[in-house]
Amino acid sequence: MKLNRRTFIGSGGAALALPALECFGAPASPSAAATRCLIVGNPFGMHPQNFFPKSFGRSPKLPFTLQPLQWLNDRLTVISNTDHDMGNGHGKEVSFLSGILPSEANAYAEKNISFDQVLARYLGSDVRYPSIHVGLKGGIQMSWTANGTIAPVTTDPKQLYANLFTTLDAKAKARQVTEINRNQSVLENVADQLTDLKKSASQFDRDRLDQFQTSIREFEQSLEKRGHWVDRDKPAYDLSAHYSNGEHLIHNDYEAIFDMITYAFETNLTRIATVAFPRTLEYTDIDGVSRGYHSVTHNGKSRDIVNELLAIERFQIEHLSRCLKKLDAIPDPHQDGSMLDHTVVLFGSGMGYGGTHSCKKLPILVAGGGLKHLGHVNVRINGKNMPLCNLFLTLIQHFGIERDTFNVSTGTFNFG
Amino acid sequence: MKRFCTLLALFALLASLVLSGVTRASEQLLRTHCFQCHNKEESNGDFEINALGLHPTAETIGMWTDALDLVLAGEMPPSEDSELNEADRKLLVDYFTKQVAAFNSPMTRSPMRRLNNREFAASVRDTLLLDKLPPNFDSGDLLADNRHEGFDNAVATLGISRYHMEKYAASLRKVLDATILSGDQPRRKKVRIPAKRIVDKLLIGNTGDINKSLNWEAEVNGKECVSFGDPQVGKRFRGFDSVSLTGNYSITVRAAGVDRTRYDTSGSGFYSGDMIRLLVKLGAHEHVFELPDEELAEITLHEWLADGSQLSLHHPTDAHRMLHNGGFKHQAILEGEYLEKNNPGKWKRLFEERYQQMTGGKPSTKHDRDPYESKYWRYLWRGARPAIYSVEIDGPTFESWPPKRHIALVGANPKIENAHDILAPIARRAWKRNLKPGELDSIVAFVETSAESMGTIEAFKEGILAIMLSPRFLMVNDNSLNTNDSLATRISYFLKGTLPSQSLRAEVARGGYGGHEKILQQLLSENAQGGMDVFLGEFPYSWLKLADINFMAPDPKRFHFYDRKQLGEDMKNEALAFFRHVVTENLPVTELLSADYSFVNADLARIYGLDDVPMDSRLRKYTFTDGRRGGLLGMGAFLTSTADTQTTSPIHRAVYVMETLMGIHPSPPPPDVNTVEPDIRNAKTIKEVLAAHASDQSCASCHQSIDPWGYAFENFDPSGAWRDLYVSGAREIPIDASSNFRNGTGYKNISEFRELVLSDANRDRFVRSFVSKLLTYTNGTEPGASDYGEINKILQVSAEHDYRMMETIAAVIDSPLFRQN
Repeated sequence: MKLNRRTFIGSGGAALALPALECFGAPASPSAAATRCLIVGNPFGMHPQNFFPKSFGRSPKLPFTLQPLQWLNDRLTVISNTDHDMGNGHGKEVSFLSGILPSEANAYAEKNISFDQVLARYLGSDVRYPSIHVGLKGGIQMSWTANGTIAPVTTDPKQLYANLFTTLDAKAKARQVTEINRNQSVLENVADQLTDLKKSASQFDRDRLDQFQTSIREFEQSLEKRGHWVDRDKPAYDLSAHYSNGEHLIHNDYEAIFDMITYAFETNLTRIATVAFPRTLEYTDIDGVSRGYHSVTHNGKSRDIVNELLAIERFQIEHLSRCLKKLDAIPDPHQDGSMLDHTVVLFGSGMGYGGTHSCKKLPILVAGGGLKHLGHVNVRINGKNMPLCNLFLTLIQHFGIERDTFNVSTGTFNFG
Repeated sequence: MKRFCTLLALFALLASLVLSGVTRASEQLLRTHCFQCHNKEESNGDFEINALGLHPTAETIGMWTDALDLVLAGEMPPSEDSELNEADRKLLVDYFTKQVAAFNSPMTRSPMRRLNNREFAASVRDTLLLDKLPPNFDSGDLLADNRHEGFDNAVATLGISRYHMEKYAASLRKVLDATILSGDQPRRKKVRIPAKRIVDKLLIGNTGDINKSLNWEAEVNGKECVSFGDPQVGKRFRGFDSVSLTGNYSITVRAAGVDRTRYDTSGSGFYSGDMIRLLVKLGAHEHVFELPDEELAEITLHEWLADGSQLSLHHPTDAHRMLHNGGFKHQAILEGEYLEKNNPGKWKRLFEERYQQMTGGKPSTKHDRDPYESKYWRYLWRGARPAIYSVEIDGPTFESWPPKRHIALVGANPKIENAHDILAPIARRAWKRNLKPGELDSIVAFVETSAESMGTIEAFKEGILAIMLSPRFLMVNDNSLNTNDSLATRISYFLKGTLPSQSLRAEVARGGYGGHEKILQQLLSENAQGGMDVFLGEFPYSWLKLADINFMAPDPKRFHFYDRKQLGEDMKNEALAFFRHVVTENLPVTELLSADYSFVNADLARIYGLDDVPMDSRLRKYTFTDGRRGGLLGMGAFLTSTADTQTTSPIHRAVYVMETLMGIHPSPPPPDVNTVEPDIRNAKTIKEVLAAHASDQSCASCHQSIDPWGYAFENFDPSGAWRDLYVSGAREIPIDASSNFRNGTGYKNISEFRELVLSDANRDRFVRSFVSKLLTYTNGTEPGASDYGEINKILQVSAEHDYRMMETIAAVIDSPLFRQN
């Protein structure tokens, strides 16, 4: 039975299976300049005047929102005039890391796969977690798989802690092993049932059943992987320090999240992480903020409300900066230089600025990763903005991955 | 007119030729009245008349039905540019109607989709013959579903991934482990938890185990108890976080409501007409009780608990957030005010004590505002709250061993050789049909093999899992069902959000849903027995986009009351209560727009400016006499969710009315249009802003059609309250809520607008749109323009029955668009 099943996936589902099978490919060369990627995003973009520096060129003086990163200004690139060429309005931000809306995904072989998932495919096969995604209160939808579905977000720092650092006792491990084995055999049975159903299905239904089949196969792969790791202990981490002052503010949560990710990078639990600052979170813990995140983007240019928005945006950058400082202080365990030197960091949004509902000129910042950074650069050429996928393609290549297109890319982006 | 008479004469003479003559005449009308604005050079509304072609095709049918709709409503050609007389208009309407009717296309079959989370939960429950799911099943553990245009059951968003499969497998295992038990019957144990072991648990945020040592100890009736402070903080039991043995339990809570009216409603937000309530949470199951005032009540619950079910107590209320930024700590000042008024001696003494504790000194006369600062009264707050004396947990007990649910599902002592007979009824329920010969063989073989390594009981669980992880269970609209089973499945998910019962399958097979009259009788009987409850809650929630109500919540500073009392929840409940009323009373569909009443409580009364509503949180029917409110058009839910935080937007409101209620789809702004960021610093009226916008010719042609659907609501502010003036700083500008439709009708205010919405053409639009939404709800996709004719047939039946709800819904279920065959 087992053999039949595998043969079936290998032959019958070949056309559909191809892209995903690449994840068995060799991991990217460990000597590549960059080995990790951290992506931080929000759903509403940034207040432009306080994000984009006034002048172009290396080592720019950073405006208010970005000031916490001033210490890094010779190792970052702020890109002006790049986007996914989408119409205005909410709902486009889900295409931030892919350039493709979910509703258009069927037109592409890899659906609306986001570039972090491309990286995870190559960099994730020999670590415990191919990628991790965190964001309080449901997060935002940034990461999409080649199956056109969302990669789920861990929304609770405690859950993240449990996932990453809790080592199970012998009994719990045994239970997990049992569950893994049982799931594997149930899935074999379910996969057999699918063959029957597909015979009589219409074209659209067959697409759905293909998706179902992919789900089963990917579930099987993840079980295999989990079976491989379940016996090995996880690194230990102490979370209590983040909550020891008796207060529980979103500051505590984001510090905990970024510190856990830093440690997960350091201990090679994962190489890809995304962190989101979602719409639904209450930001009122931040000094000067009394309103909702979405509502302060529609501030009608009223000074005091704009200030609330800037406080939320600055909060995001402060946490990013704090994390990058940590990464820069830790020597890379595997290579020369600091961890930051080998971690590509991307901050941005799939929306330009919520106040205008504009999805043009996205706020994009790249740091670290051993790239030759440019400071502030304008990529508008002949009256056209650069497709953001060009940047993503360049970053993918920077990891030593051989690819010459990514989704809607038209070329590459040249770091210095 | 002369041409028309000639045509009539011709009609009498030469019937066959005349038809083409009418067509030619209509085409002449199109040329005269439409071409001027809809030609190649000037295609207003992004529409060019030649694009229609001679007859509708699959590509153009949408344009034809839109054109018909606009001409029928008299909105095209617009009254300002054209004088199309009534007879000519009728000719044009007939022409479009005939053309649309002559268009025949294969009906679109609704594609397969995954069950959404609520359907999954209910279907698991019914497959396993449970009255409810065990409390260790929590829908929150599944991946959240996305809504599409408000609907939670849309094909577009219900894809499936390995993450879904993982969660399904894990939660199904939990349910099976709680239902099918093996081994020896566990021993019953009685645990008594005294007040001192009932402790606070911070529920806000994510790290749930941070204890704030804020136990509000008290003695009520001379007995030791623990009472609630911040309603966001629940109570857990020290030493007893969750049960470890599955089975039936009796949970006895001794509790009282205390200090219900100690503080004024104005400060506390707690209504004198409301009793204090207690929420007992047992895993994912919740029970709410009203507590008697200052009197010990003993509440006993009999509940199925499962290994790992957490127990907690909560104070469900929207009160105690009224002061300052809503933080609970600010409520403390109410105790200071209370004591100052009722016991000044104690007031002074307590203040000095607290001051001493906090600062180590004596209060100085220089700071005589100090007693009015809430920080000195923290921990002394004694507002309306539940007090808990003790909790007793007794169990697990069983009616039999193995338990009843276990026996019902697999029998008392399932044998592996009976695997087929045991699994077949489960598969029949899960897959919503009878089994094909040999269909279960692979699963039976799987169970047999598994039994060797894991034992019979565990092997049966795996077999059931294989049945329920199948697409035959997880996907709906799959075409392996025969006509009857397919209809039974559609009806069941439509009305009840779950798979069909065996009796429904049998009833459909007997022909019990054949024809309008029979369906109507079934619906009426379901309605009488509460069998439509899921529909009554979920359909309006999706249709009216109630989930979006706080996507742009009114500014919490300016609309303080809305924010502090969480009016969004009241407004959703109002909409649901009103919809339920109209359906269950079988009133006309149009009642949703024409009603002069709604359902309000004290919170909504304050927003709506009513002073004759009882001071409590219960929703009651209320009739408005001012012609401004009542029905969907006067509801906070609509008025708030379509407004921005600071300002209202006639465009957003217009688009909601057009798309959600009237089924008109205005073209979106061209993608390259520059959105101007609103600037509220130098307030012009919204009308002036939009007028400037509309002076751009490319914008004007659409906005003339859109804007009149929204201006009427300008007297309602972002929180849905009435206003006569825009107030900006010291400036006050009178509101102009008048506008004109393109068919020449106009209104001066909301009352006149409400009249116009009830015109024949608009009534037809609304009912058509309602029917389309019902079809969207059942099919997971919107009906296409090519379904126009079939929808017309539904409308006809609805009209013949004065648009009554049950008759209209019955006509929908009777339609091939619903049955998909």
